[in-house]
Amino acid sequence: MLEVRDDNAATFEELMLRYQNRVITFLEHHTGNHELAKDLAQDVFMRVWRARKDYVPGAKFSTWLFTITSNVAKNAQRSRSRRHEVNLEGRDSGPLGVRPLEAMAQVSSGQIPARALDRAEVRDVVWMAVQSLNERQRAAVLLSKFEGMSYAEIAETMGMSVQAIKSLLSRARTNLREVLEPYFDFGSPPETSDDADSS
Amino acid sequence: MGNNPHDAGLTEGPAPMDEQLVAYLDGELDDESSRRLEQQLASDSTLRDQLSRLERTWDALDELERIEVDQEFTRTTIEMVALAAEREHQEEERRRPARRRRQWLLGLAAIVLACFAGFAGTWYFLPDPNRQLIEDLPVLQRLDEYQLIDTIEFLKLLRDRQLFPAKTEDASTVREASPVVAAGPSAVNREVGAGVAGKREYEKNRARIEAMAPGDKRQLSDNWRRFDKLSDEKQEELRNLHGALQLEGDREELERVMEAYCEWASDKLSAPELSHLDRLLPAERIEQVAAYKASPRRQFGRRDGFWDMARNPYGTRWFGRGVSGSSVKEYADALKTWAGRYVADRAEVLAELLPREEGTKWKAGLAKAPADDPEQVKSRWIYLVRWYLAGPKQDMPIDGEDVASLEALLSPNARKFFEQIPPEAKKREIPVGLRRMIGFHFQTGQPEFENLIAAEDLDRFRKTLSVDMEENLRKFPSAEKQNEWVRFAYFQSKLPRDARSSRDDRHSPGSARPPYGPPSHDGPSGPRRGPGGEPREPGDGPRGMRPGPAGIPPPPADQPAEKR
Repeated sequence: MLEVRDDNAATFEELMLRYQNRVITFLEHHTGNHELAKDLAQDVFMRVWRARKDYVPGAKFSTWLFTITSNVAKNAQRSRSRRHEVNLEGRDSGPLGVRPLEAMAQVSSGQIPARALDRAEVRDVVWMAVQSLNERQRAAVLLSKFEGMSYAEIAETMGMSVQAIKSLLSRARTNLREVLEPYFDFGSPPETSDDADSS
Repeated sequence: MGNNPHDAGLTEGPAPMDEQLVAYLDGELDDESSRRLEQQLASDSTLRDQLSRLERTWDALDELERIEVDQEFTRTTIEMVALAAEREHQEEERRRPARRRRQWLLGLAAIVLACFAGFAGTWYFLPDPNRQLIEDLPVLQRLDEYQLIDTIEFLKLLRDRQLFPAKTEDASTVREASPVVAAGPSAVNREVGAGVAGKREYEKNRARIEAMAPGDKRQLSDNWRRFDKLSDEKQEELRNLHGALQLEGDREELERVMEAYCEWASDKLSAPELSHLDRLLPAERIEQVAAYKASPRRQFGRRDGFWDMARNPYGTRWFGRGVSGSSVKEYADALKTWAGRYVADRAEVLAELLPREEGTKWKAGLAKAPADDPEQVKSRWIYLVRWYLAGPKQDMPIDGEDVASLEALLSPNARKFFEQIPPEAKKREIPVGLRRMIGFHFQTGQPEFENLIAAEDLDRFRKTLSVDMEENLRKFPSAEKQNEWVRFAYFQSKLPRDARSSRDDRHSPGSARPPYGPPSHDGPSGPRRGPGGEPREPGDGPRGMRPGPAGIPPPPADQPAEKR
């Protein structure tokens, strides 16, 4: 990052290649919208480039990057809420999708292994459960799960105290459990938005 | 849930114990707190259960997709950054003396050039980014199987216990890609791979991928993403499993056992069961598998089409809201008990709604069902199912008293939904919910439903199916699954006409929120509407699909759904 700070564009590109999938994964699961996530990811890298001079040597780059990323996601969320936008992007076979029978028929006809559908099912349900968390819980969960960040790193990234992160993650995980267990035990798909607390 | 002190206030805020458990799972507790918690865990089975349930849902997040962007994204972003850099330098330039302008222009050109040269270099000159994928092709092609098997020891135990006798098909048909499999990147093969033979296999693998159909490529790419997100250690384990398998003298038999086991596990085991098996050592795992195999159908363990079933108009829906964990069974029992009481209280009226002979038979059966203990009251709910199967003229009549007694049983979230429904609509929603519960049982092949329909009735019904419907049915993976769907279709065929109408479509696929509730935060979860805003009929099926007759899914579309 120090080389990027010194205007080394090639190194910037290397950083981008290294982190772009992680950033877009975070944004996609955070916003629930692939196209929006791509736009926001571009915004993130633009901000990284613009803010390169502010990077403090010694700071962990991924923490700095995800601070920017979570701020971009948070701002996008707020502006969507202000505009009362809704997510119109369906998923292939997920809870918001339109083609469950096609998927099942594909399985039945042996075009893809049955196990692939099982995983797709679980993935969709889990995706929906993550979407049911509030914005802060979702960000903390994604940073913890996908980025493997410690509580201290998440706290730094999200600008909160370690204790607050501890409580936030605990609430998030109990909420996830509440939403996912009916599926695991009973087959009921999770409900969106109802159960996430509003803290 | 209410009986569990550790569960108190889950949605309002976590109990401190939950916070401790989560921190413990995350490795964020200090030594002293960890030690104390471990002592508590050792003596408190409820707490252990709590911990295991938190862990289970956390592990489930591993299923979330890791997104990979395409080259187009990288290119456009780099272009944007290059443009931003250009603008930035133009600004700088305006502020600098003219004599240095040329120098800065050169600098800018160098940056932009470096951007594109670096990008091109990374993609075209650095080591082939697909190299690893090509080398790992044999592992990727068997990724699901290798992940389920995990170790060669377990595979040998499976063979020795003969739980899954290998199918007797010709060895040459076992796996079309067998030569490639043999050329896998195991520790052994990678050494070979360093030489000419390895290079040849590598090129063969590459050619195989290039020759793959688009659907196979997508599957391979999906497997690669999943493989890539595994830890290095896990990846190496899978490669070693593959390598070890190649060295076994009876590799073909082991492969057939592996296929038979994986087919069974994918079909019969639920995600939590698979996850549980994954944590056991081979010797423990084989015992658990034997136990699963020997047990009668587990209550909620069937996986085929499970999700689809839950989204079906007759799947569980609104009354399952906010019910979780150990409370699920208790809740379902309460609803069944309610239904048991209902049929007993309304026996006369319900019998009159059936054809005369059927009504008499149904009432006589119900009269024999004892009513003196709660378990027996619950078991009488089966007479509600029998009532529907006897072909009633109209749906079950519900009055205000029924509404009140059922409402009292509902989970808080289900009640929240229910309270928003106009009083008259509530009377219609109760049969809808109960029919879904019944449909759920049929579609998951619950044991208590197995003998409800006489075999000859089912045979007779099956003969009435159209050629198309039979064709659809044949596409199900097993005869057992076909029979479940035929039983379900039979049940549907017996519903009174109004119960088969669009009433039930309110909770059909894509309609996560019923029409009575508050507006959804997410667009697609509102009630499904036709082009003119009218509710779509149940037979409409997903967009672009022709209706699936009597609840049997239609055949696959000509074009599989495009992945995002």
